[in-house]
Amino acid sequence: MTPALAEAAIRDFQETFTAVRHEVGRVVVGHEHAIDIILTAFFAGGHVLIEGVPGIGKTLIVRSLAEALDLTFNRVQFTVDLMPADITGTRVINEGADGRRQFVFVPGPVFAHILLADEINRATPKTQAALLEAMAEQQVTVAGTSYPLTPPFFVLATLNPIEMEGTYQLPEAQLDRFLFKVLLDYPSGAELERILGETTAAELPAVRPVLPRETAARRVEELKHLVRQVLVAPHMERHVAALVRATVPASGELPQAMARYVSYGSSPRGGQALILGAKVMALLAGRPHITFEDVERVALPALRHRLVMSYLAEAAGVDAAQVVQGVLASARQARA
Amino acid sequence: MPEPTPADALERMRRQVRAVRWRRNLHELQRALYHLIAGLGGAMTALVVLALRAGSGVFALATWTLAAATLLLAGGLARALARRWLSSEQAPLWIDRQTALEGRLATALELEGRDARRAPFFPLLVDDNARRIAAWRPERVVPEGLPSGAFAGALAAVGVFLLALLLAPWLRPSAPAVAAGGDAADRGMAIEGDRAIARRVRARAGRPPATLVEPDDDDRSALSRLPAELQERIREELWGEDRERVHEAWERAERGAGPGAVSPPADRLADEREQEERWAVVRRPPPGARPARGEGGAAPTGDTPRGEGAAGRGAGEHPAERGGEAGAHQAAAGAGTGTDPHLLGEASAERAARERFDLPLAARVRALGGGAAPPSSGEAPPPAPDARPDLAAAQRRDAPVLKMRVPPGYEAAVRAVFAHPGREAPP
Repeated sequence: MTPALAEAAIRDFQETFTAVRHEVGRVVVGHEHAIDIILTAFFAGGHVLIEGVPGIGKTLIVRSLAEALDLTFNRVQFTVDLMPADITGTRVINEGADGRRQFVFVPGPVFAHILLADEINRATPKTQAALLEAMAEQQVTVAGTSYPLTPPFFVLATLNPIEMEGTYQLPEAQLDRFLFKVLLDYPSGAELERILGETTAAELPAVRPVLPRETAARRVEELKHLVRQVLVAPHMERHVAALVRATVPASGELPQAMARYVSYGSSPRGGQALILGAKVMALLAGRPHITFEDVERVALPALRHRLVMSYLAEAAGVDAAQVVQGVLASARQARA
Repeated sequence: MPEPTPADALERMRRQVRAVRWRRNLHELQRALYHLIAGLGGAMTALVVLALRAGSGVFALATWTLAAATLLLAGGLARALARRWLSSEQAPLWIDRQTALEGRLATALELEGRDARRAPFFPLLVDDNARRIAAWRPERVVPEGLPSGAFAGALAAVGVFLLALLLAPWLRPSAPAVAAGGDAADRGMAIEGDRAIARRVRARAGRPPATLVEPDDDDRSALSRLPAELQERIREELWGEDRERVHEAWERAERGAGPGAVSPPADRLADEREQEERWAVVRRPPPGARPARGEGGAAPTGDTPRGEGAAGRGAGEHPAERGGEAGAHQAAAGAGTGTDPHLLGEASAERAARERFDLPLAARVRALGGGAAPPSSGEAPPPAPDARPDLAAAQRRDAPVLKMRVPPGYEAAVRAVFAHPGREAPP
């Protein structure tokens, strides 16, 4: 690829990303940073866990994203009686024209480009596992037959942090499969006014597709491939590895003051999330390579859900985000 | 297929990185060197000034303090230099940080050796770097060829040091004026028992007492002698031949006495700050010599050939001090109640006077174990009742000093002190 072509490809990525962000922003008031992180995860090829109280626009963000990209979209409301087959699909007996009966696979809601798993912690671990396997493998297996999911496949799962009764907390191993975790906060006063004005008007704002329906999936895959081409220097790999290592208390690289608050640190998937997210950030900045700043921008959503905090942390009111910020500050200091 | 990487652009970048690294490291090396020179200059200036103006105790303390500070400074500078030294691996990253290249240079140079040269974005990265190569020319990244601040500091420190050397002669105290006349007690000296009290000094608070007679070299380790020898050496180098007189003048200054001032009488001194006073005495003569009574008023012994007040005279270590036919530690010919003009022999050469010699006195001094001499014949009368037993507890405890020097400047004073007033002496 010549420099001119590479520059054009980067510009194309920036324009697409910006256009999608703009379209989503037409219907979602506020949450700009959350939208950026969700889009970053989307183009990085990962899945996102969104945590927020009910009614602040989680579902709206996901639906708007699907509409802007003109991709297929399904939503599953997770409940305690939801079964794995309700997500993956199931085999049913179908009688043909000749009177012969045979099993036919009926795809579940997971067979879509974008899947919203609403309140994922309300389903049983068995059902959660069925979805998380699909997320990791990009395929589902029913009755010994594997059915690949059509790329792009993007899952947005939501968690409601205030209603914990009758819920099944996601195991750490399954949390690890989400590239980023995004926290949605309450809108500000001005944002709330805009929400009230726009959602109660006669004409609701609509999202226009950024990509043509016929080529949308392919274009998205091309853009995801472009993200993977971004250059990562060895010193950046060392930096990311050091960050991930620093979150592990047993490594001895976590400051003693923080080490007692962390029971388990990030897995290597945390490092992968950092680099993939940084690659998207680099392209958005018009660069063909990642920098320390790109890594820092995605460090919080990429690492905070991977740390298992101790009871001491809970008692002291220390959360994972503070530990990640501390690790970043230490790394910054060491670099200076 | 990606286009081949423009190798010449990468080579140019590598050359420029080397140039920046060389310039930066040279700059840091110079800076550390100038800081070291500045530190050493300051320490040496302080050392010279203290050697000329301070007492031996203060100078010793300052010497070790300055030595430790200099070592710490050198260690700190070496550590800082090691930290700031640019290795070939760190150089591109450092340039990136300094010139806001956002990691372009380091990424390109690090990936050059990898398969990433075939990556689609690598030509763009190299091209991007080639366009920005002028932004990080060595003279832009390290604008100062010479660390001017550090250099000025070093220059100033050396200048101050040279100034101190130039001003050294003016830091010398004026030569001591020796006051002659009066008896020994008036000059702060006393003769009592079989020891001669050469001088008394008053120790100042927080300072060791300045003694005319210094302890034997054997008593001190070579390390502890080092500051004193250094101080002597500095004084000798800067003050030349007069340093001995300066030394004495300085000791007088330490005692708080002005040049030419006569020491207060011994009785008065004894009353003042008893706890801070020290007495320096000369060695007790060997048994062969019979000391005469000093000015303490004790009765002369029958063995003394010339009667009361005959001063013993022994052989000094220096040939010039030996007088006439007298043997070692024996009374010199002519010793009696009058002043012996050859009490100390001929005046020493100036150089020889700087060395140490035994002061050949056989006078008694107040010391532990002293007391009345036994009677020459017959039985001793019963001791008279002590009218003031309380004074016994207040008796001073003295320690003998084996050697002392008599510099030429004090020769007249010493002669006057130890001159035997006798019967024929003027009142």
